[in-house]
Amino acid sequence: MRTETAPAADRALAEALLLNGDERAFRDLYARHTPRLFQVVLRILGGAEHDAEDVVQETWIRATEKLGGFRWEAAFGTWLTGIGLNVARQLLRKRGRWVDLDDAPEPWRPPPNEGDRIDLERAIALLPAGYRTVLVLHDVEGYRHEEIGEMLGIAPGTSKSQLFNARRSLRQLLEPAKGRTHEPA
Amino acid sequence: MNPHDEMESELTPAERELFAALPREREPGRLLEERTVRALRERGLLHERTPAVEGRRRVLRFPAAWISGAIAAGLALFLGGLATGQYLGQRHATEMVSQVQARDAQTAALLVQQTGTAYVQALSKLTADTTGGANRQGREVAQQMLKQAADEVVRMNPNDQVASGILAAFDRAGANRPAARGDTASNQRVVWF
Repeated sequence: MRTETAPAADRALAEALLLNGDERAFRDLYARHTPRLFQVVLRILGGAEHDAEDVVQETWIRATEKLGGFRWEAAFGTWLTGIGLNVARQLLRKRGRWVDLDDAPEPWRPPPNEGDRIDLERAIALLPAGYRTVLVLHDVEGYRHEEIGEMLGIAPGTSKSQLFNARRSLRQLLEPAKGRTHEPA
Repeated sequence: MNPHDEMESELTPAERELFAALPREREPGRLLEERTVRALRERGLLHERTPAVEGRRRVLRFPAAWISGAIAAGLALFLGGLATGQYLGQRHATEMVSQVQARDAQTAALLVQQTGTAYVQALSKLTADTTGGANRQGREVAQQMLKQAADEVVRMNPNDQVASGILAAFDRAGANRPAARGDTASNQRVVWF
């Protein structure tokens, strides 16, 4: 599901930015990666656009500051998403909406839903931040559990269990009739 | 998570399809890029583009219709300017001719005054000269010039009584002294030379 931009072009632009502070190179990099970064961050933040923009800006600042230390062993987009993920997590934690996944308490149960069916995007936004993050990274962005583990600083097994719970909650959200009567997780 | 749970957790084809249909990219607000660039500049991580570099990069492209319109407007402006210039030039030339003509008339009057003054001064010198021959010759030339001047004045204004009177006096004197006319003619030749 993931598509990466040409690494050679990313590297040439990143070097121009790193060595010369080349604004044009930065704008090119920004244009290549921001739409994807913004979408991922927006989903993880549950659709808060202003917060997502702040996170994207902070992500680019941190990425530019750390660019000299990037070894190009991963794709630039993956590295950038990792930084964006950390910035987003910090924001969620500051707002009390992020719980460390290793210390996650009981599985979350969706609230009773009396309304009509909701679409997938809305259902993802309703998930708890931890579930949502793993689900977005795995099922939408196509990262493997090992990669997610590295990005979030958790074990791959934790990522798997988070995904399991996330999918189950998501199904309950998408089928409100079943959701009202389902067994607690 | 037991194997049964894992099986249950796998996405169904319909679910996969739903996930695949989700957009992967989204453009943020237009101001975000500028905001980010400004923040990076403030931290010294980006160098502002110099005007020279900016100038080299900027290539202006205009649509063909815009260029045609600009050419037509330029042409109309040029022709309008040309017509105005010609009109003003023509008007100026007319003014110049009339000015020159007026100046010519003034110059001619001035010339008459100057030569008339010289004429009178020359006569004064002749009066002071006691040599009889020169005096007589000078007086005849002076009369001849006076007569020709009177002729011109009458030609300018046939009703000029002063000039007509001078010419009449010359006629009367000529009738009384026929021999004098031949002398005057010979002197005139000298004078014209």
